[in-house]
Amino acid sequence: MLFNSLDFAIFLPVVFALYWLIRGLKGQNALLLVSSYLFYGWWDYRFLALILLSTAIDYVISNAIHGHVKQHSRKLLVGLSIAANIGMLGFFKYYNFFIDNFQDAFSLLGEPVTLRYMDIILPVGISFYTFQTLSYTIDVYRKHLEPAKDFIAFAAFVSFFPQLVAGPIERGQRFLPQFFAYRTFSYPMAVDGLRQMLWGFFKKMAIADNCAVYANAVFDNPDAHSGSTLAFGAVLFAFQIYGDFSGYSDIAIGTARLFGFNLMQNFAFPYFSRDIAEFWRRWHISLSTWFRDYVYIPLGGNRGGRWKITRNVFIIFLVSGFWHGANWTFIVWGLLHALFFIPLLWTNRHKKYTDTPGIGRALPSVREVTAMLGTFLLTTLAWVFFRAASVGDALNYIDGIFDPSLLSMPVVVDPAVALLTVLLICFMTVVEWIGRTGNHGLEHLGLQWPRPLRWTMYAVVIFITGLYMQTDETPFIYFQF
Amino acid sequence: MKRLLSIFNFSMRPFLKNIILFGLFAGIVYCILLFISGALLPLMWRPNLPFVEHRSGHSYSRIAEADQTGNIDVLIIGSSHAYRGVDTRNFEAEGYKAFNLGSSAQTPMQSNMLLEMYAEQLDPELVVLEVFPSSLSMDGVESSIDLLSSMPLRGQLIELALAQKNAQVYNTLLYAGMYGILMHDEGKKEDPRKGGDMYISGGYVERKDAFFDPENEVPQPDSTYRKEQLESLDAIIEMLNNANTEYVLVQAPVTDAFYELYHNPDSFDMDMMERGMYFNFNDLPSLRDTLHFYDYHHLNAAGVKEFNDALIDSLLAHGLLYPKRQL
Repeated sequence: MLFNSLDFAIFLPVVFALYWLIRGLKGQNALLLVSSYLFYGWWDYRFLALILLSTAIDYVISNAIHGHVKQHSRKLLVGLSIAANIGMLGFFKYYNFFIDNFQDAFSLLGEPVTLRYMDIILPVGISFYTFQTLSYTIDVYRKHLEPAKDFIAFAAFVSFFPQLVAGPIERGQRFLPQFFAYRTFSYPMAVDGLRQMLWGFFKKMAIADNCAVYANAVFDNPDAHSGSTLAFGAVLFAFQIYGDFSGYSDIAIGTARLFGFNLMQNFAFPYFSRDIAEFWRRWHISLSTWFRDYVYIPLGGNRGGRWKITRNVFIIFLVSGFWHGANWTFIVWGLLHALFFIPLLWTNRHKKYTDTPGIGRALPSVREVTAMLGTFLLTTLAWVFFRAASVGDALNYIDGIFDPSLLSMPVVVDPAVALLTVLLICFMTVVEWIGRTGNHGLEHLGLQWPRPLRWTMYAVVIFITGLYMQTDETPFIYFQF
Repeated sequence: MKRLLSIFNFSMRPFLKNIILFGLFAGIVYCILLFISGALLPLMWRPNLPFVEHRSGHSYSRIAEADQTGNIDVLIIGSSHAYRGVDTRNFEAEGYKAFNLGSSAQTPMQSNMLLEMYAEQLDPELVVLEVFPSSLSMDGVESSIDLLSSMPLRGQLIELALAQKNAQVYNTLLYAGMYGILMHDEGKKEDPRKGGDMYISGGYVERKDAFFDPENEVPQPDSTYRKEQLESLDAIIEMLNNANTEYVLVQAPVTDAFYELYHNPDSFDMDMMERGMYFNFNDLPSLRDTLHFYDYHHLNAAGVKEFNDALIDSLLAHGLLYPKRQL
């Protein structure tokens, strides 16, 4: 089920009403579990078995780890969980990629082999829920968390519908206890949840889907476009992916708040970042901190010499890229970010920007604007690899940008709609700049205003979305990961 | 129930109250902004509000004329292939009173609705239902917008628009409602001549002295039929059968350049033949792409004459029109 569908517009109020009619914790968890399975099964009910399997494995293993005192047995069990989860992910997401590359490698060695490809459907959200359950089991192994005894609550934690298919990837330590705590309806929390949902819908439907029209047209046929049009297409893709994914996260977090759950912030206005290190503290926070806690730190983190730290940074960026998909484009994307990051690390400037940009001022300074633009351009360059079908296509695209035609006016099919899209991006940027100290664009905006004025602002956001959204229900980009 | 009330009375009451109030407030603001946008903004600045009172295709004039028409012999209904392809004067010349209720991009969903609204009043002896593959693969949004912009809101039209689940249709529906109340001028007539088009009384839109340029790009037609369109087509047939009204399914000619791109046209012919008497006029030998069409799928006036003569001949030959009924 898509958030931006009429099905969800009916589903959510029904589940919300039933949820708060049930007073008992067990009943609420059971309802969340059934609703989550319904939400997921709406797409393809066959893959519910996979979620159930992943849930059962980690439930059994985590309890078994807790019951064993010997470190050797505990290690074996956590290894089993990692193997099961990564095995499932590997099979569904990477099987054909590895077959492809094995064949290429053997061909290069002069020993061509033919291996069997399989027609595998990638289950939506598998990268997200396997990482969530994996972190839970590792936390139990590390004794940071007691294992869940209540299977229903644990299964609801794994499959919680607002964040099941595209995150935020929650940690057991933070999120699981919420399934065991008595939840009461909170007016401020629910209202802020609705505000966050509204902003998420705007970013998805008015920004991302409109940017997609042009970005797709340009990326699908880069040879037919001038350098400036290619550059414009790349910039639009940067806003498309931001609007799409942060929009999804806002809707997920807002929806969870309606049910009394707090999910972690996943995006903190990343395009206001002043360097790449800050960008990675603000972009897909739940994934980058996951890799930090479960890959980077176990590898040694910032301990050791310069080269060891550099190695760790490269590993984490490459793994992060590979997590996104079975394609060399994602690996190159990760590699590029590592290359952007390493100079900051070596000069010890990777923690230079930990505050909010332009704090205490209405507008950023010229220096900040320059830094933000520079960071945005670097991320946009990397997005070309993320979006392109192959590394060759991405290189071809970038080659096309750096052409004398870069200085010409971009050519678009419908200039009026393109201009509208740019205006919508400007509107989003202004709102997010004003609201950059909050968890989402609308969190603090207008809270001091009289209610009619504040409500008018929300209604205007709804109106702009209604007038400028694309009319087809388009899936979220991160569903494919 | 007691529990329900207790929850709604205490912990959630302000939330539910404010949700309802905000819903009403936002609805009013939305309508006001929509009205201002429709009245002031050019079409290109309001992509999801494509309302234009007098759109191309003359649906406004046609619907207004249909409201004043009754007791006809032949009703032609369908897409632009119908209203640009069947000149009711050709039927009148043979002594039949005909009316063309085609409209832009009309799909069986809209044809069904229009027949529900007009069949009794027009009381035709024969319904010529124009069909072609693309009309079964379209979602019907364009046609709904055309009709919402061209006719007063009625129950069936609102029902159809709501079923469309499309932001453009919903916005146009809202705007058309407000426009009808606040701005509609009964006395305002649509100009019968628009661009190269001339509206002819009886519903036909004539395009003279314009010719298809074979250098122009011809798009690939979509041949994935929508279930809801096939269901609507079957509903039309059932309705006509129940009313004992004779009907014929007709595929109007398109250019060879376009017809050659159709995916498996024989399969479409078979599907239509299963539903009743069906004629496909794409094999008319007298028609030439560059002489009888003004674009890749619309006949010009010369082509319409050729097609209509063949159509009337076929109807007579198959006993769907009777010479004795000549006036």
